Amino acid sequence: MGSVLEALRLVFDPTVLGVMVAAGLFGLFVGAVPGLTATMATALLVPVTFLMAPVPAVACMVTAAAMAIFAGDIPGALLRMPGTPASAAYCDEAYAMTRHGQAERVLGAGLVFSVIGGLFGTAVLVTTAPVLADVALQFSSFEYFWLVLLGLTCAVFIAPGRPLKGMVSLLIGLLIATVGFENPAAHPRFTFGSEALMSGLQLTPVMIGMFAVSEVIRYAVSPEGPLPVWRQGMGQIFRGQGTLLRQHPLQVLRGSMLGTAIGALPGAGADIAAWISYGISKRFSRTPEKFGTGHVEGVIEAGAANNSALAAGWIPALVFGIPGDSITAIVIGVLYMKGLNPGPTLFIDNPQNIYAVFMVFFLANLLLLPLGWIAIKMAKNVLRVPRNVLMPIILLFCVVGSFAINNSVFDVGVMLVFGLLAFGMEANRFPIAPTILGLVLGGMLEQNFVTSMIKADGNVGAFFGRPIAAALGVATILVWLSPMIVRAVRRRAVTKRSEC
Amino acid sequence: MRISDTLTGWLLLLFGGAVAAYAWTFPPAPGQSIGPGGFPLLIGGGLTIAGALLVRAGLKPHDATPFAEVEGLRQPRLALRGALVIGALLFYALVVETAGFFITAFLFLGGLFLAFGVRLRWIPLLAASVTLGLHVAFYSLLRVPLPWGWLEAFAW
Repeated sequence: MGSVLEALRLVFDPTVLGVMVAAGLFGLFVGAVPGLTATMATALLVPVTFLMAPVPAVACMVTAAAMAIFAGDIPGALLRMPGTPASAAYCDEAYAMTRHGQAERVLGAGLVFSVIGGLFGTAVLVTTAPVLADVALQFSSFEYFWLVLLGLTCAVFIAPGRPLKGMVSLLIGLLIATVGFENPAAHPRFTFGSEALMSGLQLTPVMIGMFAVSEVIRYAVSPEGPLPVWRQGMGQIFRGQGTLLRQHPLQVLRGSMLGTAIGALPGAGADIAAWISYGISKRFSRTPEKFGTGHVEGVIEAGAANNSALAAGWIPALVFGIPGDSITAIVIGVLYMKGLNPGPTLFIDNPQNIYAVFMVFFLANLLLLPLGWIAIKMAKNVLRVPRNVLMPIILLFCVVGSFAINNSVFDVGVMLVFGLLAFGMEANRFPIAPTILGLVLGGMLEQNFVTSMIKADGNVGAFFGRPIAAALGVATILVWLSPMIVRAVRRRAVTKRSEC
Repeated sequence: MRISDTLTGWLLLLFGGAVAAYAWTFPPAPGQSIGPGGFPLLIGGGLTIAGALLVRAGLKPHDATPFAEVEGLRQPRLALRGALVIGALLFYALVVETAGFFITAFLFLGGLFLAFGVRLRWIPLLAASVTLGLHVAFYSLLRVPLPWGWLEAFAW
């Protein structure tokens, strides 16, 4: 009880509440500008949170990410330009509704069902995380090794695109994580005599480079047409949303549950949740023929799914220290910097901080209603912000933010190198998320691998010696073998068909 | 810039091999079965295998991607804009300690606004107000010691 009261005191502090409102407005703005993503909003906030205590820092990032995911719906619905990848799944549907004169209805639905999805995901997080943490306390290095490997494996195989390219992306992240002397043998690796590389590459400039600088470079080299303009004002946003909820309770529940399940999987985030949810909504709809013509059903389900996925991404992040997607990977990096290492012991050593994080999630989702309303009302002005002015400002923000971590120009160079790397990778269809997950989890993977090898005296069989470790190990290997299994099943089906 | 899978594969094959070869030179950890080179060796090996698989995939007859394609060759203006972004970052990193944040950031923004087609008469005002705004946010509020350089005499 004392911890809960302490958490209430931590959260309902005027500074924390002020930070949440400011971060919320920032997140709404970034999410609403096409081409700027929720991940970018979170990465840009890292240097700002540098001097904050852990709770306001987490509050800042959680609020900004939740707002940005919703705000991506605004340009998607009004201009057919999804603000964030998580809104792309139902962008055409929402735009079709706008053309039928239902802009308020579709944006209102996006807002209300994002809040419901977010609150659902948070409720699951609050109820399951402490239980899982109790289980995780029994884990040894063997279970952690498999758990991290399973998380990274999912990031490679669940991510869109070819698993081989995801694999390369992951290996690059793992390789970057080996730089420096912070390894079990304390031997300087890949430092090439540079003192700046001794303690490894700083996470912040790497993330800012990969998620923000790469976007600016992409903007610079892409042909720019005239920006479509939305001139109309907005009417009643919340009118009719109660009726929609009464008409589609199953869709809301299904979207929230699916989003939560996908969000909790390492490597899969809000965008994948929205795509799958929209597809399922169409598949099980009584009126699938209406999809694509301006039908709100899919928007409700996928809108609930993307925000619930965001909250659920925190389950593996807080309990095991394994991020569910790029956004949680960034926040985990910040938690480590603040000495608040995620994992089951966090629930015992700092329960007030965990409760505070839970409260922040509820607050952030509730805050989405008034701030989202303001964002929709102001859409006309936000969408008019010229990107040729915005991009240089973002780039300078990136530079100053990277410099701020160590007050070192070296980090600005690191940011540039990783910005170019991410730009080149995306241009050639290599996903970025596995690199970031590999970078964040590389140290943990190696540490647990080496510890396990020492414990087992080099006997690989010991990795399957404990029941949970064995189950996790088998699951990991099955995911690895899944492409071959799928191929074999398909080949057999084709052979059977040709025999018939 | 787009590179074919075949070329990417060859590059990864060489890079992975170099990583593995370098990791091989790390000393063993006394009393342990796996030393500091073990993990990088696995990563290097993994990159080499992934590179070989990409080469194999790229050699299939249906893959008509050219070896490497630079979009900028078709639209030099856009390539120049991309180069300017990189140049602006290098300029900032090389000059900021000497000239200080105010001068460097003003020139950095001014140059990029110009390259991105912002109207000339707005550029000085925009660049100056953004530079001042970021200085207040990071120097005064977040206590980041942004260098003053040539304006050291006016430092606050």
